[in-house]
Amino acid sequence: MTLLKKIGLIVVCVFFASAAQAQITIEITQGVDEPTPIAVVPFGGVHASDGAAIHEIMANDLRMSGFFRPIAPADMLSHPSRQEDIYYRDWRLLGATYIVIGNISRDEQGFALEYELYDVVSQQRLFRKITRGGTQAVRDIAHAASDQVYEAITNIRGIFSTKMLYVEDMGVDGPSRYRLVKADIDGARDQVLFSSSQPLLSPAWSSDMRQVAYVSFETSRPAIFRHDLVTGTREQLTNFRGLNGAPAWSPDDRKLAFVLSKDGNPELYTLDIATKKLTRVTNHFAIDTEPNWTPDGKSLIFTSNRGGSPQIYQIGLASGRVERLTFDGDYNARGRVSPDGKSIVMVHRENGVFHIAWQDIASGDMRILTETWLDESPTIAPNGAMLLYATQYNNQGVLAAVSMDAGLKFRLPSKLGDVREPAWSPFPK
Amino acid sequence: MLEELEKALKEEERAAAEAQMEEEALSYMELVQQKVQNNWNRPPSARSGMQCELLIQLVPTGRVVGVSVVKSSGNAAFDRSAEQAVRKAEVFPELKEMSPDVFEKYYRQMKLLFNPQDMRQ
Repeated sequence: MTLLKKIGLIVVCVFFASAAQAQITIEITQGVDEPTPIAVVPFGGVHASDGAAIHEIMANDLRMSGFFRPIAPADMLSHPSRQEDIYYRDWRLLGATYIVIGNISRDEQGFALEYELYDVVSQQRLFRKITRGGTQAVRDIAHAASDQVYEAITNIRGIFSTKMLYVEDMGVDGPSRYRLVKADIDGARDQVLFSSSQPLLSPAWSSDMRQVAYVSFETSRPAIFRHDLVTGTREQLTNFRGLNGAPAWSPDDRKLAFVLSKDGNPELYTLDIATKKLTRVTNHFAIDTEPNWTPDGKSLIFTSNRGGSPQIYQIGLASGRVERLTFDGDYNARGRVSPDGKSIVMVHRENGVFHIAWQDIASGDMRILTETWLDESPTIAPNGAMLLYATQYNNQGVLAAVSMDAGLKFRLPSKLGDVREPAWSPFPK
Repeated sequence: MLEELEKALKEEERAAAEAQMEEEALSYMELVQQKVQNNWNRPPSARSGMQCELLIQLVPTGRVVGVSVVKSSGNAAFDRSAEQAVRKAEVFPELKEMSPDVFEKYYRQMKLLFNPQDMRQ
């Protein structure tokens, strides 16, 4: 065939292709959001556990996030630990979207977990990683792996290696009726930081996690204490008559904001920890309480009934300018600002029932996150994607976690006493 | 004059045939949309305003044989959820009933624009 004829043929083919094919675009505007099925396959190699095996700790972490539905190992047709042993069709039939496989070995340090994450639907590996730890660090290894899996799939930083504080009321009068407890975010490895025969309230982490502030009634009236977790020393910061409550650390850990009623009615103040200089922030005959800092350190959000009912307001620390943030419902209190500063989470009352609600600051859009009554004390995860709150279950105070997208609620294992006032730690620095 | 009339008639016929093909193509769009939507599980970071475009390849049995992201949302988790939605949908069996020329023209290769309207801001 001559060159000219060849060219002619190609031109004709191209013309045909464009006339024969038209592009349609279908718009997909909705989805069905359900927990993503994930198989964390029991790892090969040596057995490493701390109350639970590594794969069990990981499955629990992932379920707690509200985003995953772990598949029970008993339902798995096989327990592969190498890529060659994955038969995707089996996992597709099981409904798994992701699979985590791996191997645990011993080294001089302790344990090494080699693990891989696969997308079952696309049959692709997302990553292969190794996490190491000492023999006492089995839970840390598991949580680090959970963080990596969560982040690879969602593009959000995992919170499974973070901690929490809570107050436990043992219910029986005595020297350690009330305890300030620090624990892993899944409830494990709880340790008592301080115990008292008198109530403890409102624990708050400093952002470097070295200190905790809380209200203690040990002097027979409420006072704010600073507790150094590294040295174990405690310092009483306030001793005013009346209300001394709701301490909140500034983002740079240099100040605490709190509420005092020493000047007649509850108002907000800030204290410089180093200089002990007390600065009054609000000046209004109404009740102003429950301060929480914005991430830029320039404003406080707080609860006030200056508008006739408890609502959440924001005050600029430099300007003193006050702005109301909530308008839905007759009660909005205990506000907490999200780490990105764009939304708040609060206790909201609707039709006489208390819920935890989320509100976008700019648009004012509000969304109810929890349905059970008597939900209180929301505390936001440092990745902004989840929160912990206190609630009742079987007549006992327990903690529950919920994702900000109002996904599945996860109830943490109950303790001996009534658990309340949770505080989610920042990311470890 | 007769030639012109003939030409006009042929044009009209061609336009009518094309309109009919287009109508048939449109009639299958909703079931494709439904099945993909039923399989689309969005990640927690998804927000209204995020968009990604996928190019998918089908065969006449309605089976998906190729998926690729042609316009990313900028969020890898979002893009991956869209791809997974199509792969999980796997096959649109009703497309077997489509006229072969309609399939070739409109469905052999098509685009899906993932543009959620039901997510938080």
